[in-house]
Amino acid sequence: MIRISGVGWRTKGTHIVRDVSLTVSQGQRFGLIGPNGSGKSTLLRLIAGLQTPTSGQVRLQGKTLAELGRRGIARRLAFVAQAAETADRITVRDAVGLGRTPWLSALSPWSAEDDRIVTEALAAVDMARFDRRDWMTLSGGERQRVHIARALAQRPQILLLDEPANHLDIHHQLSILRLIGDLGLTTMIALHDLNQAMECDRLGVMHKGQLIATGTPAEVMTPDLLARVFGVRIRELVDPVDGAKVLRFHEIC
Amino acid sequence: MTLPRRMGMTAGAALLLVLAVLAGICIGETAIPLGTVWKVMSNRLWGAGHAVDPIDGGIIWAYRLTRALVAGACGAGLAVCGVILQSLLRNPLADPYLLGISAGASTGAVLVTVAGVGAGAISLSAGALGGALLAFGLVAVLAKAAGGGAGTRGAGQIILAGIAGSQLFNALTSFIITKSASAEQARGILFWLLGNLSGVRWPDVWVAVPAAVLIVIVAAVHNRALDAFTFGAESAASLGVPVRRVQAVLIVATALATAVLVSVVGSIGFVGLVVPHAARFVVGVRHARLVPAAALIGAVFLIAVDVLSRILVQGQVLPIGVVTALVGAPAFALLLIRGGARR
Repeated sequence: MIRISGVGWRTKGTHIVRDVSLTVSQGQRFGLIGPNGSGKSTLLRLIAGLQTPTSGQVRLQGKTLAELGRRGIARRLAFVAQAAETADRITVRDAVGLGRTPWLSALSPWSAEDDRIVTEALAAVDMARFDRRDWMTLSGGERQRVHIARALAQRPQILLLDEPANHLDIHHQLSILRLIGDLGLTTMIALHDLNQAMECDRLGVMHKGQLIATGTPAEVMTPDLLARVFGVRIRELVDPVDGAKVLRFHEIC
Repeated sequence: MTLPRRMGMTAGAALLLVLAVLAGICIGETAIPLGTVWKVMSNRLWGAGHAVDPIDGGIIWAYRLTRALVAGACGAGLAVCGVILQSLLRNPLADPYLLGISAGASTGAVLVTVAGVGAGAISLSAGALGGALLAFGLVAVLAKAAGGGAGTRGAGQIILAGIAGSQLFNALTSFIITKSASAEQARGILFWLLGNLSGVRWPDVWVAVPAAVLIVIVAAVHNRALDAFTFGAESAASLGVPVRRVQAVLIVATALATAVLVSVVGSIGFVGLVVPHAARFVVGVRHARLVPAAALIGAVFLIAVDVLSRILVQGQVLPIGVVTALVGAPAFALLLIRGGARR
């Protein structure tokens, strides 16, 4: 589904991402973790074709990004940035309708089918009743839901999300992440919260621009690695209600 | 929008434009009755052969009609240029003169009229066009060198480059005027700098109208791409818009259209900045409706303002830029307050 081979990006002599190779298979939920400035966002942008790698190649469904072209990428892959904002007085419905852009042209103008897809996308993020509201009147969590709805309106097979739950309160964090999990799409998601990362099918750990480990959460979240990458000591606790593992962190002095 | 409704809107818009042009012809220092206008127009357009006073005929055909057409073209063109730049650069303060165009045009104009460059072989319009294109070229190169201009980041660079370019060329203009202009020349240039529709004739119509029509078509063709910039250039790219190409095409087209319009009538302020906002208040932010609405409002507004500029002070024509600001600023303030209350 997503195959990245030897991808790197450098600017002004500094390697922001270096030699990353990775495969994400269909339907998988792949979490990217790593400290600030480790290259998670840049890697996602490279995969979305928003930046061009200075080395290596990204393939989606077997085709390189150059073969797919901007429109071809947008029909397969949707990208949700951390917090994209606008000062325009756009309605929720119109904001979600922007997701149809890659499918529209002079020859295939907006149709009833597009209306239906937008309605579905709004329902999927539980924002249907907000569809006539002004963007300005939405809270942070609602705005993030609208961004995800716009991504869904692209009808992508792949969803990339850059810390989508950042800046949200805990209730909205959980509901956004559950929503993304329930979509059943191939998903790559950059996450800060390591406990939330435990919910992913597989994890990749970015450190100083390199992907230094991939595997299931249990394989990756070792005390050794977390100490090296994040500079923290962990203790695993077990939630007596459902037996889930919970991580506690302590600074290494 | 359903087809009958769309046809109704188009017919309404056309009617409004025709009415504005008619008002532009009839109203003036000497009022001309509609009947006379009808006779002259039918004589000219399909040789109806009505008997009319040749002086009336001359005023209507060569003076007032050309003036109204050029005013309409400039209003529509500048308003649509404003829409494009505000959407593309995500800046509500962007206007067509942002790219250094009006400053460059002024410099070109004073070089020709005051400093005597070209020794009479170059017209004021040609000088202004040359200056405008030179200034835009400089701004584009500067923005590119600063690492912006096109691409998903750094749309801000072109704004900063435009400010630098404008300042430079405005300073050059002032320098030339103070160094070599007589008081009489300075007055003439000032008049032109504030926008001047006097002396507009048919050749000017054939320059201004095509420029305006072209920029409206270019904007209409790109209406979805412009919509996609709502959440910024990166979001547009992720929606499949070829951001670099769209930015380059639209910015160059805007610069050319503005340069042509400025070279015909001077820099008429306010229209390109404010009409787009007024149009957004009326029809919303989707460009499929915003572009035609801005073109229509711009055209009607500038024709009306031109009429006002001719009748406001008895026996004198005011620079149209003065009147656009005098009329437009309070109207815009009202819109702002009403919009604020609705929010």
